[in-house]
Amino acid sequence: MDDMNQFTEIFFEEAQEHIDAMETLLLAFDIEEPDIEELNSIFRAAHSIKGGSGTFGLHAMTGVTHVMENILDSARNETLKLDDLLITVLLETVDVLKNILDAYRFSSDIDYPEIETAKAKLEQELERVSGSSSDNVSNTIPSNIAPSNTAPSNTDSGALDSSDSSINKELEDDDAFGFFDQTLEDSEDPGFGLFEPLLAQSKDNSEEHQGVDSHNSEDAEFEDVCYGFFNEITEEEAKKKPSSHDDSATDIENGESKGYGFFEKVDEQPLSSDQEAYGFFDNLNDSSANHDVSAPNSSNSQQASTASTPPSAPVSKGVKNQENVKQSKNTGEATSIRVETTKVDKLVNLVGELVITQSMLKLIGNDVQDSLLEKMQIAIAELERNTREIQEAVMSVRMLPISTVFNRFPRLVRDLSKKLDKQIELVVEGGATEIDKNLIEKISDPLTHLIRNSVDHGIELPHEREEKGKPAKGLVTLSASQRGGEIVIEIRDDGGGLNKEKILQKAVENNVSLPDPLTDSAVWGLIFAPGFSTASEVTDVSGRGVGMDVVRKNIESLGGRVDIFSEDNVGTKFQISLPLTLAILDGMCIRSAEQVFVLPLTNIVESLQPESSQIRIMKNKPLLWVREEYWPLVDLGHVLADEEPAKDLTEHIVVLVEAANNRFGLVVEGLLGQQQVVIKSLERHYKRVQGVAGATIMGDGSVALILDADSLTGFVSQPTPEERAYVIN
Amino acid sequence: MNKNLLVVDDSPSVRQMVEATLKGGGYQVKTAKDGREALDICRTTKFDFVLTDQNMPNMDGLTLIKSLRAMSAYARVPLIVLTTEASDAMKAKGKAAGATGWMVKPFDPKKLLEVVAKVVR
Repeated sequence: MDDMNQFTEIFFEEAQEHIDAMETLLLAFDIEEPDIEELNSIFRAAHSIKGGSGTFGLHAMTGVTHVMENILDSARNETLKLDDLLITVLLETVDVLKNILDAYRFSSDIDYPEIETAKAKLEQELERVSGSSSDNVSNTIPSNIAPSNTAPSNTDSGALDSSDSSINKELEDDDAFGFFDQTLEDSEDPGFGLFEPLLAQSKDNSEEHQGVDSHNSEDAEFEDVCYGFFNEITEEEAKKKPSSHDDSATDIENGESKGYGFFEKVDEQPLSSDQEAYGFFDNLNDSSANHDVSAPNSSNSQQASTASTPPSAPVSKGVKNQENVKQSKNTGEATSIRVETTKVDKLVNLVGELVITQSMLKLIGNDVQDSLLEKMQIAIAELERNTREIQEAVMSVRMLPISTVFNRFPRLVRDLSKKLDKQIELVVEGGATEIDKNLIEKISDPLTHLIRNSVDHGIELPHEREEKGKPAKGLVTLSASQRGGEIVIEIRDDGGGLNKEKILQKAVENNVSLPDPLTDSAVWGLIFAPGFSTASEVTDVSGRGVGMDVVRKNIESLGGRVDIFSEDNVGTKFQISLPLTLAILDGMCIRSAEQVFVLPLTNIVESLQPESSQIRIMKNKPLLWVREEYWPLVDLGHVLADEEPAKDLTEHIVVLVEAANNRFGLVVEGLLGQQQVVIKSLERHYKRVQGVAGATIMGDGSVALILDADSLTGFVSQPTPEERAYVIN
Repeated sequence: MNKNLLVVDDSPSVRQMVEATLKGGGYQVKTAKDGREALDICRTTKFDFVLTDQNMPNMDGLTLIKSLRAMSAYARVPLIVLTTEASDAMKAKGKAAGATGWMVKPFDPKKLLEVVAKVVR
């Protein structure tokens, strides 16, 4: 089936990944202390290859992985212990899989004897380890695998049956679906002509169906497990049939819909006497002869009440399907392709280099002679625009809005607050902030944990809040924003704050070594110790002390960090900072201490040369009176380059900076102009420096530090009221 | 009349194959890579049909079906579970979870369309 080709390609990549993963995990496997999670991963890899290879008709792999799957399944269920020998054999099997995969990939010959040997060896091992016969290992996979290009075709589908009809007793009538808008006309459409094998079967296996017309047998098949429209139905399955027939017949007699609604034939009588117009269960009942048939006109009434929507295009066999195949091929190609992330990463880095090159050109462009200057500048401006668009396009390949994660939390908070009898409102901000897809997947668990924490430990019960003079309804705020080269996600609550005494007491109890000096933030850091919990009692929400350490570990593994800010009865804030994969920001280049720094434009309110009348001195610290308020000052050269503080501020430039939770004036020597810069991580190459978000390469090849307005506020020596850990608005 | 279908499978190739097949059948298809993601999508979107693989990381198919059945919006939506094992125990589990039916992997795309056409109206 050529329509499979494009997906087969994808499957090859996927299978390769699974094979590599299996190998890695098996190699690292600790037989003394088996890790169930790892076993699960190995099992899933085998399972995925099996499922995929079957789907894509690569049967040589299916058989091998099936046997592997059995072994691994027993292992993960702890009914079998993997020993060294077995691991070795499994690894050999992985090698065989590699060969098969390559053979399929490059359309070379598949070494069937090798496969058979590998399977036999595995089964032998399984027998050795489990001591039982491995009859059940290969009974469902046809062993006569032969190379073929035909589509896979041993499929089953069907409605659930169960050997215990009491399950059905619990189901009520209205379990049936109510969405069968056009039961009757549709069912006239003999759009499924695939039940020939089934027909034979149902006749063979169920006497009840004898003498029914083909419509019936079509339905009969629904009432039963197998549609059986597949070429290879194993004998086993055929054997199962009679019993399931009986079961489902019983179900029907109970008048219970098992939740699969299939449709009656118009020429049959509908069974249900209810007027609810879910017409299914038609000749299921006719076939199970001992069922009452309701009045003939009920089918009409159903028809009348349900013929509201036109029938969806029925898929008929043959021509139509061919069309579908073609269609699906086209849509498949249009929707997505799978690209290795390394390729995207490379693109991202190249774009970064391109931006740097472009700023070099810009620099050179300034020296161009007059006659060419204008042309040159136009061209460079054009280049700048294109570069930016390329950058955005490349980034968008990897980026998703963080709302994909945030969207699950309103529900979580609601359910939890109900459970805990608390009144809590969740405010979500900055959901449109885009972060890397990898981060999205990995950040959701830590966030969930932190939000649960805020709801469970942070926000107090309504009556407690009122006693403290707070509104009964607590507030949890979840926000995301991009700051400099980082994505900052904050979880804030206006609850009771962290309890310092309790934390210290617990830390002592758990023999956690206390940090020195014992600052607030050092104390808060203690809650990340493994097994730490201050919850007075363990609830099913939180309090087992599993988690905060994992939260921190997860975030740090992403190259990020967590900071805690907390104030008694004001609330707690968890701040997660994650690095951006690549960011280009518009910055203002400023000069200070004979160096160039870049300050993100978004932080800048204005720049000015202060007049002496604007400068006030308080406690020997200068303050600037601008815009009807006092601005504390940070002397860049002094705090970052250890220079003497500026003597005469009127000789300097002050850049008014607005950070997330503070504002201050940055004293610099001069402004050099605006520029786009590529943020390079400083932590990756050096270490974290207060006040610095990262570094960039300038057009002339020199390195300039990018300032981080938020962490520069740490240098503000004059705490202003706003500079509390955070402000609850 | 365009029906919304959700396909849940951790294997990208199977997922895309199923998606393309169903789109070819004229349905609108969304995909999710595991039960948890599917559940998140289902909280905001109502689908007319969900086809889920059983064996997936984070949340398996049966757990997903149980969770969906607990939501009023999904009380009657056909939920089909894909499984490589068609054992009676598996079927009983599927039924207990509230699945509408099951389908064995590997399957032929044509058959898939037929099954979907049977339950999605």
